[in-house]
Amino acid sequence: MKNFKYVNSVLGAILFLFGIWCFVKSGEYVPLIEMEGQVGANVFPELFSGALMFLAALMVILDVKNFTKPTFVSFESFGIVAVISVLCFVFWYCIPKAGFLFSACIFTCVLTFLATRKIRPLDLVSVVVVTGLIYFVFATLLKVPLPHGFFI
Amino acid sequence: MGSAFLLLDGFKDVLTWNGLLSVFVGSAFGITIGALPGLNASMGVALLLPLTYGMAPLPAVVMLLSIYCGAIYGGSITAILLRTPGTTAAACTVFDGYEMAQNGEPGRALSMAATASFIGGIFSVIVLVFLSPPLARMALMFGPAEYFALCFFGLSIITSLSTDNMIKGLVSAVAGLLLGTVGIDIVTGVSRFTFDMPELLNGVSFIPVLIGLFAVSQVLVTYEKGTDDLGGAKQKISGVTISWKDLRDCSGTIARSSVIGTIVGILPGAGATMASFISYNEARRWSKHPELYGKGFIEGIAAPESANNAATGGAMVPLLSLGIPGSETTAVLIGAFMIQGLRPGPLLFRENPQLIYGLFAGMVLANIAFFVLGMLGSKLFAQVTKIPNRILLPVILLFASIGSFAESNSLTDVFLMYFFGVVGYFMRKFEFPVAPLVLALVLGPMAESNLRRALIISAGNWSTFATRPISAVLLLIGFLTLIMPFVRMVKDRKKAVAA
Repeated sequence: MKNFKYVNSVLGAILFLFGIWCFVKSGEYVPLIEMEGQVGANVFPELFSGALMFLAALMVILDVKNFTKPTFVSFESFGIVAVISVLCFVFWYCIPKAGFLFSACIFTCVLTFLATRKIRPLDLVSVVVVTGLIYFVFATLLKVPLPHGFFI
Repeated sequence: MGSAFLLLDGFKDVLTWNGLLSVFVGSAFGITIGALPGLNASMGVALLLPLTYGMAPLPAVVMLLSIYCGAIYGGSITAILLRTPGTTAAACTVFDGYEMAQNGEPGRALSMAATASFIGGIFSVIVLVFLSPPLARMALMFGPAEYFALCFFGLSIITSLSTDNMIKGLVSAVAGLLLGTVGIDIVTGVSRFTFDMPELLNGVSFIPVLIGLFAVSQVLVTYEKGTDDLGGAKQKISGVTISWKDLRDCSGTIARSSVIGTIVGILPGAGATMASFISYNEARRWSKHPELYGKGFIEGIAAPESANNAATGGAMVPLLSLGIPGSETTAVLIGAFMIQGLRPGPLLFRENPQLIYGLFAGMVLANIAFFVLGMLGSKLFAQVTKIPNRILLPVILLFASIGSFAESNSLTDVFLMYFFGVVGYFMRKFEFPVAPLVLALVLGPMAESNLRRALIISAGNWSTFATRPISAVLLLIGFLTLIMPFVRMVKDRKKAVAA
């Protein structure tokens, strides 16, 4: 999607559909007991979804009519972002299974490698030491109960 | 005059080896806690609370107050250096602080944060010493209608935070407001957008969203740009500290923000985060160079930092005068008072004035302590920007993960943090401003619950917001703030057409 002109229109359409979904969902939150002066739990979500739909529609119209400057987006280097994002979620998944310290050491080493695409032993040692230090500060000194798994 | 003499006596009591040690240990610990994402002032106070059991009342409470003041300042350090606000109160400091650090001026940014925090803190202590009883009574006049009006005033900043692209800014704000409705509705008990997930019943936690949107998205953007030859800062580090000119230029902003911070801090439940957002907007509104805000402008650091530290003294006003804790941290502090056999409130002023004025003197010293530590440390802290990105980025993600987890010991928060990191990345790619979403997420739930409470109290009478003077004034100012950028846009367009 390099330099696609109508990015804002596409985004507006997606946001509009999301607004509709939120609006429909909000309709389910009507309280069972009515009280004088009470504004139902559905009112604010409906109001905000309505506002989102209005703004999204406005975004599309203004973009199609060329009233706003178009947004140009390049995803040339998106590959690395996708890999890092997936890694983050894998790390999150592994924390309770392998333990925080072990997962964190692997996670930071992989991230360091991905930054340069070279194995630099000194960098890897540095991140492992820093990871251990951070773990010690939080888990031991500040008593944050970081999850233990199969390893620490 | 009586208060001044009592304050001098208070200094005599605190200026002992024990007292000074409490102040410096508390401040250093507070700065560390504040700088670590996810750990906040209330956690810091709670962590050191057991240490104070065996101490005399004055040094014990002074140490905890020093943690409180230090932590609020400490949040700015990581906000400036790593785009990761250590505390929610430092969220606003990111906008200009990180840009300054990236432009090679981390020392100048950190020094301004320390100086503004110090001035704001000292101002609020002066107010606390001389005006606390009448101000505490005024704070009690704030009902749900006034709180809603204050939140509306806070939310009205959204339009000025979105001047580059108004529609996208408003979309971002509405998304934040929608996000704020997630969880159990406190008025009716209905679960909204929870999808039967118990983790969402309490709503979306603010800290993971904040860390994700600011820190994780920045890490993703930096990886995308390429990291092998880059250090943290784009340029060579210059400007290790602020100049007199900087201080003179920011004096008006600091004074205004200190007043705002103190007043907002006094209001129970409002707090340092709201104070920093409101003062940032006011600073921008009154500035000669509003266009420079968000691009590494020093006033953009002075405003939120002086306000959030001024809020610390403000928060002590209802606690000491009325025995009402207005924030999470003051609620923990009230526990510390009780452990020492003291009950904050009007009686404490009558029965133990020596201790009260000792506490005031302790707060002054706590502000001096974090200022000294902050100024001495700024050169050292600034070196963080020299760490190569290949080391710094994984460490930021690690800090972000622990910070999100530490708030409520929940891995769901870590997931949310990464999720909002990806959302933040796309928002930046598609030019949606992040600040309105953050602001709406903080103030939206507060505005909604207070509006609904006000309507229940008034039996559905909407005029309650207009007939109560404080509410009416705040709503009017909020409305004017909301439409001002639109008026300015129309004026600029007319000028352009005429030219």
